Order: sequence, then C-alpha cells, then structure tokens
Amino acid sequence: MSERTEPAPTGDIEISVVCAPERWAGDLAAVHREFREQLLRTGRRAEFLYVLNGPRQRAEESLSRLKEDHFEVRVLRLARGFDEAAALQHAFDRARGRYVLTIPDRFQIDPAVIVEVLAGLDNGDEVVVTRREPRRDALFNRLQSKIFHAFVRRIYGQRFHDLTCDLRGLTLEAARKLQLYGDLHRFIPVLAASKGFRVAEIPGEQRPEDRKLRLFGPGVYARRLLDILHLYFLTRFTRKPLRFFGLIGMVFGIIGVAISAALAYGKLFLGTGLADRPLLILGVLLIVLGVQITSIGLLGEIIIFLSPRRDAPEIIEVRDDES
Amino acid sequence: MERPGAPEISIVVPLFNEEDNVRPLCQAVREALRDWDRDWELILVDDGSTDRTLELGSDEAHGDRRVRMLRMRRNSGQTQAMAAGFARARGEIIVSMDGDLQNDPRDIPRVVSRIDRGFDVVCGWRKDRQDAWLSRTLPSKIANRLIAWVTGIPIHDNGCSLKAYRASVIRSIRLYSEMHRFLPAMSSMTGARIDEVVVRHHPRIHGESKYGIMRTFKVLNDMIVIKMLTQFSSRPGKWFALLSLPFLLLGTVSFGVWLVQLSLPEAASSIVFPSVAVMFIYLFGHLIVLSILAELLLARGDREYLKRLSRVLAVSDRETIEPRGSGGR
Repeated sequence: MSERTEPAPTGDIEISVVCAPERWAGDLAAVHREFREQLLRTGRRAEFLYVLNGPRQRAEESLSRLKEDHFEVRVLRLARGFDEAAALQHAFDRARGRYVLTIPDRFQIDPAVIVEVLAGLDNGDEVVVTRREPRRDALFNRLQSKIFHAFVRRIYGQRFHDLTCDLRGLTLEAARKLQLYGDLHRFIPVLAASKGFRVAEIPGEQRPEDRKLRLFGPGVYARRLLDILHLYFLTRFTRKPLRFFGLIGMVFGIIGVAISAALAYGKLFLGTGLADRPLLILGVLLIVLGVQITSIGLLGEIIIFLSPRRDAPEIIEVRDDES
Repeated sequence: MERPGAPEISIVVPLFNEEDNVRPLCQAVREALRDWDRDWELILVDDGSTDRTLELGSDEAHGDRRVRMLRMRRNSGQTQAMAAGFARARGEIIVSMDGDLQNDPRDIPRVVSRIDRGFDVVCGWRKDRQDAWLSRTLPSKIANRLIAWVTGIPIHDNGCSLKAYRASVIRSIRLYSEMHRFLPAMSSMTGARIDEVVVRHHPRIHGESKYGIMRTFKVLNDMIVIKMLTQFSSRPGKWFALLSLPFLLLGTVSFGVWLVQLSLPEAASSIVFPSVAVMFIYLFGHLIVLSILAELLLARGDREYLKRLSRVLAVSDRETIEPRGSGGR
C-alpha cells in the first residue's frame, strides 16, 4: 500500500477524470497510476470515474484493487453494454469537478500533456483535445488516420488532427451540454466547435505502447464513414430538415421530369414509340423518389416545430444592469 | 412581468461583423429618439462577430445605460440573434431593426404608434428601396408577392427588418432556422393583427450585405414550411392528405385512359398509362401514410406549445382594437 504515502490534495474536487474502458481493456492500474501521479503533481484534487459499460471481467478486477488503494476512485456500472458515448455522458452527468478529463484505457499519449490541457482550460478554452505528435507508429496507422481526418476536414472544414486520441479536457458545462450518443464521442471536438465552444488542440508525445499496427474489419471502416455523414447532417441541418431533403428530392424530381418530358416530346412530335423504352420507368421512379424524399423533409419540419427547444444558443450579456 | 424602471420599448438589433456601423447606429438611435417621450432601451446582439463589433458595442453599452450588449456564444444566424434579443427585452413593445443603417431610427415612433392603436405586429414597408433594382429589388418584389399569396398575409415587404411587435406575441413564437423573414406569417398563428407602415430606406454605406446565392432556394423552402405550419399546425395530417388528392385524381384519370385504350380494337399494349397510373397512385398512398405519421407526431409532440400560441392573445388587452380583418391592408 505504498501509494497511500503520497497524500492527495484536499479541498473541493477540481478535476473529474473519466474513463470508459473498452471490452478488451487490460489492466487499468498501470494507466491509472500514471495519470494519478501526473495529477498529484499539479496539486489539484481529482476524482477518478470509471464507467463499466456492461460486464468487464479484467477491468472489474483491477478496479476493485485500485479502489482499495485510492479512495478517490469511483466505479459506475451500466447494466448492459451501451455505446461508449452514452457511458461517457453518464459519467459526465455524475462528475463533481470543475473540469472533466477523459483518459484512454491504455497507454496512448504521454500524461505530461495534462499540464497544458489544464492550462488551456484555465485560460478559457472550453474543450482541449490532444494529438499524438510526432506520430511514430506503423505507417499504415498513420495513413488511415490521415485519410480519416482529411475526410472530416473536407466535410466540416475544421482542423483537427487526432480525433481518436482519448485524452481530452472539458469544462463541466461543455461536457454536460455535448449530449453524446452513438459513436459521437469520437467527434467531441467537432461537435463542440459546432455548438460554439472554444476548442483547442495540444500536441503530446506518443507512447511507445501505442505504436503497434491497427487493422480493423471492413465493418469498422464503413461505420466511420457513416459516422461522418451522420455528424454532417447533425451539425448542419437538424434545424432545417427540408433544406436537406428538399434539395436531394428536387434534384431527383427534376431529372425525372426532364426524362419524362423528353420521352413525351419524342412520342408526341417525333412519333417515337414508348412501349419498349425502360427509360420511362426510370423517369417515373425518379419523380416518385423526389416527391418521397421531399415529403419526408416536410415531416422533419413538423418534428422540429413540435419538439421543445433544448439546444437554444447561449446568450451572454456584456453588462448586466439587472443585478 | 413589468418591473419598475423597465423601459416601455425595446429596440433589438442583431449585429454580425458590423464594426463600422455600431457607433453610427447608436448615435442615430439616440438622435432620432431624443424628443420621444417614452422610455426605450437599445439591445445590440452580437452574433459571434469576428471583428470589433463586440468591443465597440460594449463601449456603447458602458457609456449609455439605455444600450445593452448581448453576445451569442457563436454565430447562430440572424433569427437566433433576434430571438435572443427578444428573450432579454424588457419592454412591452419590441422593435426589431437591421444593424446596417439601412433602416431609419426616425421611423421607430411611427411604427410603435401603430401598436398603440391595437395592432400586434407592424411591418415596415420600404416602398422605394435603395438597392440595385435588378439584383435585389425585383427578386424581393417577386418573393414578397409569392409569400403574400402563399401565406395569405398581404404584406408588401417581408424582408424589411424594421418591425414592431407586442412582446407577448413575439415571445410566444419559437424562432428557429431562418424564420425571421416570416415572422408576420408565424405570428398570424396566434391570431395577431398585422399592419404595415411605409418607412424610409437608405442605401448601404458601410460593410457588405450578407445574403448568399442559395437564398432563393432557402426562402422557397421556408415558405412551404410556413404554409404547412401556419395552416395546418393543429392538423398536419390533413395537409398531407390534401397534398395527396391531386395524385389520386391523376392516377385515376390515367388508369381510366388505359382502360379506354385497352377496349379499343387496335389495342396497342402500351406501358405508358399503366406506369403513370401506378406512379400517381403510389404517391397518393405514400402521402396518405405520411399524413397518418404526421398526426402521430402531433399527438406525441409539444401540444402545450400550440395551445400557448392560441392563448397568448386571449390575455392581452384588446379593447382598443379597431374593427378590421385579420390581415393588414
């Protein structure tokens, strides 16, 4: 029990460290110790929240040992496997610190960067993300990461280099307002920036343990792509669905009408028979598709109109003369 | 609601990158309202500007107690900026205005006087616009005609930002997307009485106009939505059902034509009419199903909001109102 020798700072909890270990997460104790030491050095009081997303055999064992040594460790258990974003949000809602620090469940980035993350939060940034820089891992890792981030940049026009780096600092307010679900935790900086929070990115040393090759199944890559599209809709059109659906529907509809009109012209004035032309079916189907997509957009508008506003933009009064 | 010392009139001005206009604007408002015998406040809403708008506006706010400066956390669009200003306004009457000095603050008392006469929404009408005729004035004329025709509210100039509202009416409406252009139509959902006043209009001196090319598409889009929401907000299912009827008609007709064709002796077995008939009847079916879905949404949605909308005018005093239709002129 040598770890008790170093006294934890007293006073109010300032930092809530949140970790949602993945199913195959290994021994958390080593990672925990490293981050704990780093935090002790900053002299701020921290609590550790581990969210167990469904049964996690190995993580559970190492956590129960950790809890004996460090009373600032809290373990939250979710009954079954929710998505990781839901697990994080669950922890955010229970965090007591002023800042929330999400940490990886493995060695990924050098914890020393915490100092800068906290400094960024102190200086008014609301979300501080880290990036592993310089990257020293397998060439293939870097390549797929480059492609992924190029995609993200192309669609959102925001410059983040390492969305998968799990060490992030958030103010409690930002953490709670992000409303993460699904796979959105991967896009915390993008989502935060689109909601108007001040986001900064800080480079940190990559850990040697993180350098091994990562190759995923095709399903994972397909899901990432869908995530990007999903977020695109989420950040741009959730308040004006008809703009999105209407544009797509209009394009289909116009092509369909054009094809049908050309065929009708041929039939009426040039005497071209229609009976054996599959093009007619294409034209008709495109019109149908256009109307369908547009009408779904209208339905979306009804949903927006009828649902209570939750994410109204925030207003700040420069000089409050009511006080 | 009314606190002692709260001004009667709140003037809300959304600003986005208007650093050149902030100071002249405040100056002009002060100048124009100097001899007015009513208390007013000027609420500047900075919509996440990237220039010195916030700084200059804050200076104004510190120098004059009647000026208040609000800041949106990020650029959220003119509608949201206006909604923010409306939410924080303390006056019983709210005047909205552009930040680019194209509206004349000297018109404010005139617009407000129509509210005093019993109207709930008073729109400015830039009868002779000071913009390029072909690129701005003409499209806007066409758009306004279209909007008036579709929404059934005969306002000549929906785009004019100089408008006055009874605070209770405008606050009851949730503003989202880019609905500020359609506020008269939206407020008609509450049964508001809408009037129109000719106002002055100045050419733009500082800064650039902030409207893009996609605007026509957007306005068209919003118009359809407004039509749907205002006319059938309590029964959207009916709207879709109505939309589906022409398709049923067309489908039946083309089906009939096909039958006639079949019965003709030289029966050319054409697929044209059957496929067209199938298309129309398919669309009819689709829209009917959507109409049921829309009813479901309504049943599960925020019906309190709809009730509030229809209640808002019931509580405001309406004795002074002159007998007139629901629209303007």
